[in-house]
Amino acid sequence: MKRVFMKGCEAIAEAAVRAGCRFFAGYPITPQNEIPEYFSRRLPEVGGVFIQGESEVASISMVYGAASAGTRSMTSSSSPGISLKSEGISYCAAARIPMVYANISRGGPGVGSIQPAQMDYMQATKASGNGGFKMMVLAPSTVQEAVDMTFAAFDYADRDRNPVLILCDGVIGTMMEPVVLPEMKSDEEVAAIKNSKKWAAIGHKVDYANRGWIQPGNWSTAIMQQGNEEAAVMYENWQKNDVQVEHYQVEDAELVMVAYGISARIAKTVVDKYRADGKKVGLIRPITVYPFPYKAIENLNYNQVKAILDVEMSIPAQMLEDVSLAVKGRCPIETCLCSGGNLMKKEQVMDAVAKLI
Amino acid sequence: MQELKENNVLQPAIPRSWNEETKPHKFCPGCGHGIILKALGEAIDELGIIDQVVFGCDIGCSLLSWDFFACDSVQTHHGRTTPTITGMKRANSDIVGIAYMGDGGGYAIGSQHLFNAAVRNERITVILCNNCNYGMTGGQMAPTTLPGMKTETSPYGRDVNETGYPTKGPEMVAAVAPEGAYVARGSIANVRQLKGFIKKALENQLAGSGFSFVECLSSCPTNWRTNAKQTWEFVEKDMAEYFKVGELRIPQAKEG
Ligand SMILES: Cc1ncc(C[n+]2csc(CCOP(=O)(O)OP(=O)(O)O)c2C)c(N)n1
Ligand code: SF4
Ligand SMILES: [Mg+2]
Repeated sequence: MKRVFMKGCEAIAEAAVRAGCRFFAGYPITPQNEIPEYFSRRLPEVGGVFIQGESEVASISMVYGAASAGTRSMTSSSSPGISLKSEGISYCAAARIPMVYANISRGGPGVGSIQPAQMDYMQATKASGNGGFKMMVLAPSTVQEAVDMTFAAFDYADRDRNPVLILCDGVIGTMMEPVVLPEMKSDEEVAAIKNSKKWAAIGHKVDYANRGWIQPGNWSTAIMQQGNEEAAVMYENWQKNDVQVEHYQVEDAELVMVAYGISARIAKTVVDKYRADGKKVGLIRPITVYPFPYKAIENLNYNQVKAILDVEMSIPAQMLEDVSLAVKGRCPIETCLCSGGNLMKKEQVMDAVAKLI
Repeated sequence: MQELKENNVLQPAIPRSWNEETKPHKFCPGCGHGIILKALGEAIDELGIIDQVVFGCDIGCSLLSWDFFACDSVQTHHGRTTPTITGMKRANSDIVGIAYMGDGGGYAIGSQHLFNAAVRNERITVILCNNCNYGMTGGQMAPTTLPGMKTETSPYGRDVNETGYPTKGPEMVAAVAPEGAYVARGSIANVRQLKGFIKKALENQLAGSGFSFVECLSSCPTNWRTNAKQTWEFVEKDMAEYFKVGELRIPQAKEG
């Protein structure tokens, strides 16, 4: 397998192109500028379209349009820009339009800082816009994972006719790592995917009886409720079928850390350090933060596990609420936090663990 | 030639592009939206493009037209019809993308999009219904509310010192759109002319020459609280006095 050395943002963009993404609209914001920049070079090479929108609101609306026309489409931004996109994301979820977007998240709230953070967890997993919709939210902790997740995200999006979010902190987005890129989908495959979307609005000459009516709402409250019920079933099915989680040295662990994204990577090195000293420390790493791997935490042996340590780059802690829901008070939960753009330090995690073992 | 139906009454011809299942339409009696859409329907018929059209409608009373035509449609967020149709058109260049919106949608919440789509000369057609108020939400002040005009949020009359003068959309678009754009302002008071403008706008898109924009002076008797005579006078006189009807930008005929 050929390995290439790539920056997270560029790798995400290349993976998207290889998955058949042929439309990207975005607006500059640090630390994700390399995504639109890469697409602006790459998409014309494959007959795709790049637009720099006049705002995040414009870009997400353009993606709503392009995806409604059946084209695999993507947008990206960083935290403050993602807030602006929320109206369009809600529209895509309501009209069941598949699209993929990435949040290369930074310090908040407000304009915050341009440094990496994990402060958009609640927004990403609980309410990315009005109306209570849900999305699959994938949280890479390596550039390779960012590539694989982006590639898979388009399939999830099309399978469910729903938006999919790549929740990627600024570290993964901006660092360079060797990656193996997925096989490029052929023009025929890309065309076949587009043609399979019979619901798309592309001029109804194709099929008059099934006019493409893209509807993010309905006059009939009964139809609205029916749509919401169908979506709720889909969300439940994700919980059954699509949870992804990594267990690292958890089997005999007496202290279990829970961390995702870059924090998980740092936590992993801490596990290795303590294991070298014979200390029973482990890590549960949510790979999908929605659906959240509640079961993995719920099913721990609480006769053995003395404490849980929630490690995240957010103050106040956010994922902590999901962790608590799974622990159900069966052992103490401590936190190891930083925020505002400060990177989690290995020493800080080491100290936090030391206090608990 | 047209068939005489019941009681020897000549039925008004319904554009073929209309979706008959959804008629009569849902607008208030005396509303201008239906007249604009009739002009649009006839223009679509004359060009024979219904199979290519994707009709985008904004939130506002324009949304009541989501199933008005027998074509694909997309409902968008308030103000976002222009970028949504832009995305559709760019992803599928063989469609005819029409963005239909109100004056609030186009000139207030969506003004960044109208302005920038015009600057980029997007090959789409924007049709905007100017009815001097926010119709769907119950008649609040819009960017186009005339000086001194009373609305639900300008109960003492629009004060131009505080709120500025009514937005002149076509003038703005004409000022920023590059060569190849088509810009006009028509009125429901002259449907034949309005249809001509809309048709030219669509032809401009079909020719791929640039952005096309038609503002339509329209009526909203429900929120204006006007009777038929007053409504018509307002459209024909008061509105037309401030908003000059006519073509503002016509692309140069290509050489040869
Ligand atoms: C984001 C958002 N803000 C506000 C509204 C409420 N709203 C619905 S229609 C409308 C105004 C419509 O006025 P206009 O665009 O002039 O269209 P008209 O109804 O007059 O044809 C508003 C403000 C909304 N639906 N979404
Ligand atoms: S409220 Fe005004 S714009 Fe809306 S349908 Fe009624 S008359 Fe037409
Ligand atoms: Mg209006």
